[in-house]
Amino acid sequence: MTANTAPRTLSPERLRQFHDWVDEYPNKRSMLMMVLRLVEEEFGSITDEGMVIAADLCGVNVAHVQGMVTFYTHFKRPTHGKHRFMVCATLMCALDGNTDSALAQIQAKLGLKPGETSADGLFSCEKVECLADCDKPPVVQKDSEHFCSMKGPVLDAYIDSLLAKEGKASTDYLGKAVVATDLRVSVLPSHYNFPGETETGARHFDDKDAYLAPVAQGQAPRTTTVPPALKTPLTAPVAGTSFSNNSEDAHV
Amino acid sequence: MSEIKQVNLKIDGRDVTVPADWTVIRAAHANDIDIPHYCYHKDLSIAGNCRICMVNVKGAPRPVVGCATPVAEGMEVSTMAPDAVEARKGVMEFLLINHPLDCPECDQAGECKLQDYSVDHGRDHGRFTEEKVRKSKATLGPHVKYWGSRCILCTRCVRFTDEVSGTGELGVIYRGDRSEIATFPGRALDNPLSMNTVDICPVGALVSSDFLFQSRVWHLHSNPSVCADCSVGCNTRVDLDAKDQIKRIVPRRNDAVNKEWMCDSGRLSFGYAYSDRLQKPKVHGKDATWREARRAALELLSGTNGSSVVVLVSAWNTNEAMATVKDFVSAEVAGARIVGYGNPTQQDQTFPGFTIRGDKNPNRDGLKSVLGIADADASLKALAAETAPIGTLLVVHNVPGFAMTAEFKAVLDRSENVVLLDFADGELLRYGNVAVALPTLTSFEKAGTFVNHDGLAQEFAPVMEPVTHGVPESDLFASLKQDARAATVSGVKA
Amino acid sequence: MSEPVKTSVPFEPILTKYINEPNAHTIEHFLARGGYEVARAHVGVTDPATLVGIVKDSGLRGRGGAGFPTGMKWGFLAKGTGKPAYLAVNGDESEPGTHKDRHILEKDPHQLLEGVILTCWAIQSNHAFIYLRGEFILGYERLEAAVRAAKGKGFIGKGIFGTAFDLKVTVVRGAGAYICGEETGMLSSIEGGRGYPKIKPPFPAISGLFKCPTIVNNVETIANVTHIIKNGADWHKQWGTEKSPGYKIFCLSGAVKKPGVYEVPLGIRMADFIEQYGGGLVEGRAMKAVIPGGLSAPLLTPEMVENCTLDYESLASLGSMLGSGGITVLHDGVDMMSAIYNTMRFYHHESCGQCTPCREGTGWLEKLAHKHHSGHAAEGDADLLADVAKNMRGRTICVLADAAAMPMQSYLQHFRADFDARAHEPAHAARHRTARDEITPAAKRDSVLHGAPGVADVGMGNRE
Repeated sequence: MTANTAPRTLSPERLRQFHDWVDEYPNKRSMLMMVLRLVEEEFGSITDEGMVIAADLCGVNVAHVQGMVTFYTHFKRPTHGKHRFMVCATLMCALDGNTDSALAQIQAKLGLKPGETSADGLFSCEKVECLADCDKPPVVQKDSEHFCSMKGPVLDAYIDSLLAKEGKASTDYLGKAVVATDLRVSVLPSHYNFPGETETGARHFDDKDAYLAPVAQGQAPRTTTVPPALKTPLTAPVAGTSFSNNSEDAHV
Repeated sequence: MSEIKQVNLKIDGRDVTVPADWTVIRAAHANDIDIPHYCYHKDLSIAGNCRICMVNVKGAPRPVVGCATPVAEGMEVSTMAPDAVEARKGVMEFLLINHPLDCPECDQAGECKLQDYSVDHGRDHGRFTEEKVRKSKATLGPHVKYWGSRCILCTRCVRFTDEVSGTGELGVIYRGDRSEIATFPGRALDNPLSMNTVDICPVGALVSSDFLFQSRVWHLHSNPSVCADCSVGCNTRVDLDAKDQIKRIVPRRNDAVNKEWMCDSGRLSFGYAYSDRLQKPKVHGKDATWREARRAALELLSGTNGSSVVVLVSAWNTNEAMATVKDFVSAEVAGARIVGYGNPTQQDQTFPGFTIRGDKNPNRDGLKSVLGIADADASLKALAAETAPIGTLLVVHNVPGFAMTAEFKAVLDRSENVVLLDFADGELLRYGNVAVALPTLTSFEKAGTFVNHDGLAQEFAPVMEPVTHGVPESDLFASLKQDARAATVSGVKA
Repeated sequence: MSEPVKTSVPFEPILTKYINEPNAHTIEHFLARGGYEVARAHVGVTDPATLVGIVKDSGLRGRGGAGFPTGMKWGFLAKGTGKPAYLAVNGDESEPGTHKDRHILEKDPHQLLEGVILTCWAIQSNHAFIYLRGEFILGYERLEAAVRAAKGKGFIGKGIFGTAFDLKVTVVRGAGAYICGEETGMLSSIEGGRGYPKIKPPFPAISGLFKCPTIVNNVETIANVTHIIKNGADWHKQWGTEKSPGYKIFCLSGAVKKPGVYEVPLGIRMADFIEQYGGGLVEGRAMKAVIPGGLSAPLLTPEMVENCTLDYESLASLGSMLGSGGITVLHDGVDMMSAIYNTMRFYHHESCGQCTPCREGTGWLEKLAHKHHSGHAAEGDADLLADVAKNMRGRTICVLADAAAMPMQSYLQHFRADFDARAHEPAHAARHRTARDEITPAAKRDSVLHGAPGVADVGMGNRE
């Protein structure tokens, strides 16, 4: 966090999506859940600057946004791996060791226990609560892909396909160091430490306008009007995201 | 305002009549019936989350929370019904299971609602033997620190920053028993009202960095006062230690003035009572006795033609001081001109639930009502614009942190001699031509009346013994008058 | 149970009739089977009060868990407030063991939308929100596509079906919070806040979403509306019992041969349901207990299952609830201490943290359950569990505390011997022991936050 990154904002497509939504909601605050999804898509996870952007778009305080992001456990955070495995650990899945078997397979392939991220930041594994497909355990979600009956060769093959996509092999991960997926937020601004305390995680932000270039130029992005003809449908395929997997369509 | 209907209900067997839009807890408190509460605060929205204010309402299947239950005609409320007592006992136990019980090192101990209600409503021993949840300790801003493990998540502080200060620096993060209060990194809790969160925190989670480890509260004694930091005139409670040293200032409820809030600046503005005080009278820079100093002052004032005397009275003086100035001038230096001044007016700082006045003087209204100076700033400006020399300038000052303006300097520069009444050994005293300096007292050490921006006259008493040889203006002018009369009788008029 | 069950009336799946047909989620498929015709026939034509009357007469009860009569709820909607009225459709479906709404959303979203249109006309609301849990990725995509398609046909938007009635439908996604399945928690989430349930009263029908009158209904409830309005109240009442009329989607999971989603008339015997639809228990296993209505429902012993029918009253009389219809069968190899520990971990993780008894109590229950699970419990800990559970019930804003306490109480009631068997240590030893297990405080905190190994759940009894 030391490098002062260039100001970033949402891509024009996502800003346009935001403007499309404005008509659908009684106020901007109520768009926060959906705007956080846009931020998640834009940055790959909800970063601190993403929270600032969301706060600005929805007209709420960034402390509130931080509260939202830490309340809803499925929002992806920067310390999650690029590929984030979420294994359902609630009773219906856990019965008969289904959850444990899925976790064991992930550990055997990637060397990750729940709550860990690989050192290269590509993979992370965590246990989550009910994913609502209880008749076909174990249920696993990988980012925005949902899988049920995810065990045995199916799970192995899926992990292998991800490894291949990243140009990695299982041996790159087994027995290697891992990092704990630290989802805590820094609550100690560095300039207000207790006497004698240092906080390495403290982060500093410039004024939020810096992240919203149009605002800096005196043009609030939320008031820029988008010609109706340009309005995009909500789920027009966006490069890099995938909604392809369904409980029936794949990996049964 | 439309008339709100009144309803009659019974609380603990007592008949009470309250407006129909009140809640049970408000009706009880208004009638001196105690219902314990953490999250409920009269001036904040209802959260209903602490669940300690459970009461029994006849006909309800289970105890209800007093803070969120509206009153109704004919309602019968019991605070001591067995099911309500049982419910509170349960809640008290839950509140304490993850609490560190670190009262010996906690600033709140002695004024902690957890301690109080534990005695009144809790059980006599703990049944929790597991590991407690650990939470962060954080510094939220320049004046406020957070001890997460002591926090009971009542969210009073969050609601305060949302609703009263409107600054929204605070939020709840995480979920369940991992929840904590936090700022966003780099966005500190640094609004001018931040320390109110410390007051409204019912436990030791939010503590004032300035009061931290300064004193145990049971060693303090308290006196009521009125804040002089601006023209709001917040009602305060000044807490002093056994050595009569002010340790902190906290707001005292007055719904007509400040509700239960006050600004950080007001509560931290007691340092001037202890530093750079004018200890003794001075004549030409040298310590003198009161008799010598009064004589020197009288010589300068009544020895000259009244028309060459100008009296400057600041808006930091009490009504009583102003009245004695007026009395003295008309009796002894008739014809002298009285001019008002004060700290320059700044922009009002307006928050959704509180306004800090830009008029940084406690008694501008007094200048108007007692001395007839409608516009103090204009009167000083007019004086500064003149060029005729001033024989003697009597300054009744008492302004802490006074920034000398060019106009004020111009008036000083034109004056042959200056007689200064002030509690501070400050910039004004060292400016040059102060012939006589007479020590007075801060508003903590004297009684008086300030009239706030709203025209409300608020009387206050001293909260502590004077720390210097200074005297109140009323005593001083009375002595001066007496001296003058004695001199006239004995014919030793200088 | 004393009520006659109308088992003689033949039943074909109604809500789930098309879910196995390819492309059933498309508007073309839906229109080809007469979709939106009921809405077209009534919106702008029929008196809204008539529609409310039909639903009231049908006896339809909320399918989300509480079983409140839907028509009666609609009747409570505050009128003449000068504020807009909202419909909020609860598709959060967060109760573990339940996944019925997933199938409607993913495979027949237009069925839901037609119900939404009719409901909005009936309650005279111009804006409906549909809140989906974040995990319904395909469901969100398909529902959004369905809304877009319906907009394109003029079924949603300004002047729908050529009438003067406007209707907006907004789809909101959650992000992993059980509490957003609670109706007011969901409203808080839609409003852009943490999913904190709101104090009732005022109930949402008086002051709900954005402090406006709001009707909150489950996805399955709304999907039913079209069929009831099309076929009439008596048609709906031909199935089920007197007080629980109609049919319902049940989700069967656990130790049965054919777990899955089944739509059946209410009032059939649970044992028959498990046997005939679920194919009975897996080979070589006997039934130990059944969780009848999602994880928070008190469990039933095999004897109780024999006497149980699938309707609201029967389960209530057995001290449990029909809930959201998620039936989980536990076989005789399941370690009940492991199961209750897992259950308590769920509620600890999902408590929103607003009310003291729930925030602190769920954690305490989990820790005590963990002690029993790991064999570190002391004498009297089971009594303490019972007392903590009792102190949590009925003391909070929403019913999550009750939802956590109820299963604990039922486990204690039916499996007390299992608890006592793990209470190895005398009470005084437990009070003076430190570091009694491998969980360090730091790991504990992290684990609850992030699902790290500290609270790794345990393998249940092996099936083989």
